[in-house]
Amino acid sequence: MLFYSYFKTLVGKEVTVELKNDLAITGTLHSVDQYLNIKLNNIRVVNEQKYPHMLSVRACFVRGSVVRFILLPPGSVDVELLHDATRREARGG
Amino acid sequence: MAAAEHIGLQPVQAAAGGGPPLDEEESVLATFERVQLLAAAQDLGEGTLFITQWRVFWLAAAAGYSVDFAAIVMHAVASDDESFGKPCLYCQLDSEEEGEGGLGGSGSGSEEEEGEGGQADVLPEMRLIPADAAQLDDLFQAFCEGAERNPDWSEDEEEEGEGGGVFFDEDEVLAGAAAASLGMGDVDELVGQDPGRFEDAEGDEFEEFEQQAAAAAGGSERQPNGGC
Repeated sequence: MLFYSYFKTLVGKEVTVELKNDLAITGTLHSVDQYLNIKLNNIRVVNEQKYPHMLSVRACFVRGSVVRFILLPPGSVDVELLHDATRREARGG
Repeated sequence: MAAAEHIGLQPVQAAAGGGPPLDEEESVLATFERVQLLAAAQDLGEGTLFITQWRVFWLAAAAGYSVDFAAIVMHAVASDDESFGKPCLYCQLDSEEEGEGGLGGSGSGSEEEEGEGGQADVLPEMRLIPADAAQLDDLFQAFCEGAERNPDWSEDEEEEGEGGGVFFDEDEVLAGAAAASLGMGDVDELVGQDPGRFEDAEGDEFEEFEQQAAAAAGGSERQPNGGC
């Protein structure tokens, strides 16, 4: 649940989601659910030359299981807080 | 209609009444009329879209297909040249489900992966173009809800084998597990066999010792006593 809780704090921020098929999409995080399904608005595709047909995408929904990485906005990463949270989770607390 | 099947759409026959061939306990939750289907780049014409609990049917006079929500990797509202400039629901499908390789599609392939399945370089994609563009938001929403109703079919596998597990494992190794395995359990065991073992130290120091052992997590303090 750590990731879910954390990603919820990023709603409204700009993130880049990289799929396991290499497609990488930058957009405003609209919502995230417990399966880490992700909805983005105001999309642009990072590797445009590879996916020229994705230029015109407006809103999109990405299945959580196909996400490889999520690039976070640097300003939204509280290292101390995340450190604590991961420790707590690792202890099963 | 090879293109449709190649991207993972299942061919289906309409049921007797003209509706989709539903399984038991399956029912139609939403219907969208006059939706054009493009499978990869192949235009299959206009049909009717049926949304059920766990899949989508598209039925036309000439053909019918279904696809499970669980196989839809992403979907998006888009408009591009492939959809003739009309707004459409763009979907990427999971090619692994079919285990088919060599999709031979267009566009993306720079790296050629020869291994299992065709998951790497070809995007199995379809576009749904409603004749009435106003339906598009509802269609998008229906697909979102469908995906939420249908998380991974291999959820257990994911939890065990996926990156999330590795992440926590690593964390445990760095922080928790080493201390847990070298710390309290062993000390208790040692004390249990010889309650007086640590008595020569002051009571407070024993606590200190425990803390040190946990913090150091290397167990070096333990070694002098280790030969029990």
